[in-house]
Amino acid sequence: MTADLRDIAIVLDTTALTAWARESVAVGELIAEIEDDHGAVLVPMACLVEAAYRTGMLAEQRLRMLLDLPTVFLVVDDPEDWPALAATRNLVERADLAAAAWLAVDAQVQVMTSDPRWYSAVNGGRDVLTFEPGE
Amino acid sequence: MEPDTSAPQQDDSYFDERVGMVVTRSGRAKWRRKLDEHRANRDVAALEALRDRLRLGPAAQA
Repeated sequence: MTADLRDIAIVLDTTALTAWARESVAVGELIAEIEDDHGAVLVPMACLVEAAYRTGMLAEQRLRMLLDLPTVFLVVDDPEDWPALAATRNLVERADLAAAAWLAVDAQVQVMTSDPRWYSAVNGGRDVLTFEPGE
Repeated sequence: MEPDTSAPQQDDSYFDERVGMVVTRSGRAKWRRKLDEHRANRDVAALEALRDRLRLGPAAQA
């Protein structure tokens, strides 16, 4: 699976997007590394909306900056994926996290998150890249 | 006066204009290692099986 002929490297969930908006060095370092590698960072629309809600208007500029990066791709759910998203929702208990988990399973990559507990029922929680909230 | 060894090495950090913040090369290398480790060790068969199972929808998970 590729995005604009880039290899997909990671999916950012709501916690990672919220951290980015608050200038998390961990998220910035990961994105810089993937950009130098000409890889792709996927941002699920549902996670973006939830992160924008949680961080407020002050963070809007940071979120827009993220989406302007050539390595970052905003992903809207494919209508045909609704059964998979509903099934994933059963595993992670939130629609936004289900979008992130489903994208990661489909692309066989990790979800970057500060709270890996949400994903413990998805492939045994093995496909998460955890960072500390203050990192 | 003792040197401040707790401060990060000066040449390790730099301002990355793309992400609009000061990052460290050592930090980037850490994330690179973690990405590479997952890519090398991921269970592709298990992920494909999970993907196919999820595509069947929530009723099939019961």
